[in-house]
Amino acid sequence: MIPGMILKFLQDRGTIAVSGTRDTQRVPHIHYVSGWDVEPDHQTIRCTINRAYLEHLLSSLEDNGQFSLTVEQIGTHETYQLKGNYAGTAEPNAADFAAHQRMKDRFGKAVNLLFGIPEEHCRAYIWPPNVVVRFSVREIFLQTPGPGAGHRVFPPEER
Amino acid sequence: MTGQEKDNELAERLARRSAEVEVLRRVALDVNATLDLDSIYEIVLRTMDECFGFRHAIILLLEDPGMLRVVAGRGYEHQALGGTVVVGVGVIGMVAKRRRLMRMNHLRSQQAYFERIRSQMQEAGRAAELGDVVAVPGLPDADSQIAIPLTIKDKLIGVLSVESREPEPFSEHDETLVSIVASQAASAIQNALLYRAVEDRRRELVEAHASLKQLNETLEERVRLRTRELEQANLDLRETQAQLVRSSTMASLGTLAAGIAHELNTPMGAIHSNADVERRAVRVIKSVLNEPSITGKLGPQPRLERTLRILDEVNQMTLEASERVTRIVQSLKSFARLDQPELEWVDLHEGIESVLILMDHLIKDRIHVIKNYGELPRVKCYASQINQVFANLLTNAVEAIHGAGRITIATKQEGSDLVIQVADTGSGIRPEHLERIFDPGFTTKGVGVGTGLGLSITYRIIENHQGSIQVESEPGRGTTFTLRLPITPTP
Amino acid sequence: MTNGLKLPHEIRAVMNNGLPAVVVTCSADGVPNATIISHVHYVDESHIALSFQFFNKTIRNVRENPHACVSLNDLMGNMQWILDAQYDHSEAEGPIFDEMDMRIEAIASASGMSGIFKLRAADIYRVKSFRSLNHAASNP
Repeated sequence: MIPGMILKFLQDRGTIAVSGTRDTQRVPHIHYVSGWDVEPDHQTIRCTINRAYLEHLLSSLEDNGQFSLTVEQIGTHETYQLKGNYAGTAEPNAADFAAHQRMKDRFGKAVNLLFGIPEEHCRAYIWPPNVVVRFSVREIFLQTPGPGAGHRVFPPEER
Repeated sequence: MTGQEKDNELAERLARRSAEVEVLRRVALDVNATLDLDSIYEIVLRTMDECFGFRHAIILLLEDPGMLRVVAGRGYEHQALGGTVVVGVGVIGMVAKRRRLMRMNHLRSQQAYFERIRSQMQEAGRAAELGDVVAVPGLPDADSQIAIPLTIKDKLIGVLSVESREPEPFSEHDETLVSIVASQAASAIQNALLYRAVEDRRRELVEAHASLKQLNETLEERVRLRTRELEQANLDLRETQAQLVRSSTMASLGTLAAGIAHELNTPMGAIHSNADVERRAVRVIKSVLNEPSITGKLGPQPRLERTLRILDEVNQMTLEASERVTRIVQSLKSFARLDQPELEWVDLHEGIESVLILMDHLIKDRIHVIKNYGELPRVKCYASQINQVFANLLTNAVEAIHGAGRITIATKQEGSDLVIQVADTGSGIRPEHLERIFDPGFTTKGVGVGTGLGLSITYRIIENHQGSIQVESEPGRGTTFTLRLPITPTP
Repeated sequence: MTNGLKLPHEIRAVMNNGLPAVVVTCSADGVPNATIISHVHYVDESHIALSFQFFNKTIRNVRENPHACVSLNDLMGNMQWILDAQYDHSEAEGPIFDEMDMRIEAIASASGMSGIFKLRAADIYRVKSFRSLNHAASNP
């Protein structure tokens, strides 16, 4: 199960997210995530992705099932990378759209605060979801720049 | 964009570029037309602001190998003047260290990034690894910056920095503009610095020259003064030495005289006594021979009478000679008077006489000495010193007379003073020498003949006795020295 | 839109716009790694550079498997760029290294963190292809 503090981060603070897959040739690909939500099992995460980023996505997931999601809070740079196994796709539902809206709002506010770019402009930059990718979290790594970056926080590293 | 719009845009860009070229041309002319640093700074910063729109700019000069100092600024509330940047710290410091231009955008977000990590390190207990946050001159909320080194042939002389609160105001083209201005500024600043250094040096040299000139002038005067002091000191030394020698001589003479007198007294006493006895014996013999009983028996004895006469004369001469020797010895003792070194009441005539006796061999048969002695009370003085004065004056008088001549010694009392005059009929003293006659070392006797100290010592002695000495002379006629001594010197 | 092999001039400004970039790599055993980075350095029309400061997963991955996917965001310009690149070599000295090092040290030194984020090397990547996504246009 995803630790509570990470759940809280994903729920309340995460501002921007990006995912990565790799194809059969082990060539990596980027897929921007326009929203995320944690399913009730607190293990599976739903990521909403716009069709602009679908190239190589499903074929890679079908091939090897490897999916990485990196979520950052803009401003504090608090960042976690969640790696897991593909658990299928779905159509975005109301909750997914709500998650998308949450992300847009946070993104708009944070970028406006940091860079002075108008909120509306920032919100418009985040394209709406077209597909939901579900994955079961296997490992979580701290990616916040600084001491501890790269350490695995779930499951805890053996001392 | 339509063709027309494109043409318009192109024309606008061309116009802008032309204007920029003109600005750069003017800057180059203006900064190189002056050697005044402040003027150069003003031209550069004004160009940044008014021509290129870079409102916040500073110029820093390298003060020492590790530090830059803000020498001019424009667009800052506090003008940032005097602020320093350590080479290697911050954007400006790094530009100085690496001698490369930097154009940085979004500075605030990058700084925030590092601040965040810094906080995390502190929370993680790794504060010891952190250094101090450094405040650098410039806008505290600058979000972009172009900093360019000011170099002359790879030698760093400073940095030009322009800043903005906007995140991305500076383009690559702006880099080029700033680079060109910086290049012109660097050479103009270098020239101005060199000129300033030369001017400072020139001023220093002028001041040094003036000081040296003044020093030379005062030095000459000081050398002159010092030379005079040294000459005087030398003469004083010689005079003192001569005086010591004389004193020593006088002391020795006194001792010798005392010794001679002592040794001579007894034999002289015996000689005198024997001569006296012989004279009386001759008288007795004459008396006996004149008795009738003897003349009747012996008859006239002319040989015996002649022999007795000769004996009588010889005895008389012996008596006179022994008396003379006694007087000489006494004079010698009297002259030296070293057994009595303190102030004493002295008969000056005694001193004069003792000197005359000692000089008799120089005077007799050549020089006629005339004594016009007045009634003189005793005078309180150092007898040996006064006798030294008489000896000096009389010696000079004797030496001035070549062949036959006359020395007149006159004494009298005038009020509380005694006046002694010694006049000779010698060769006299030339007028041009008269005023120097008492100067230590001055002599008319030629090199190596006289020390030239006699009269100076005489002068000193008389001065010490609160008296005075004057001289009158006429070449070919003679010289007169007049001494004046207080009977009782004031203590 | 796929643009080909020569990076356009305007991408330099995007690399300097201060917005974070993303790089995704893949380990030799096939696990992707998505990292948000602060800066991508423009080398020339067909090369970019990433900073090697700490020996992290990205650095390790490209040395096992040279493929990388890099994205840049131009929020103001509503453009997003996605570059398919391949790790080529590392440079621990030279003009690229110097410039990257200067940029890092300039900020780090004033923050009292000189040497903590010391650049070990500039990892040079060859750009195989790239595409841009225009966020001003309607959603594709």
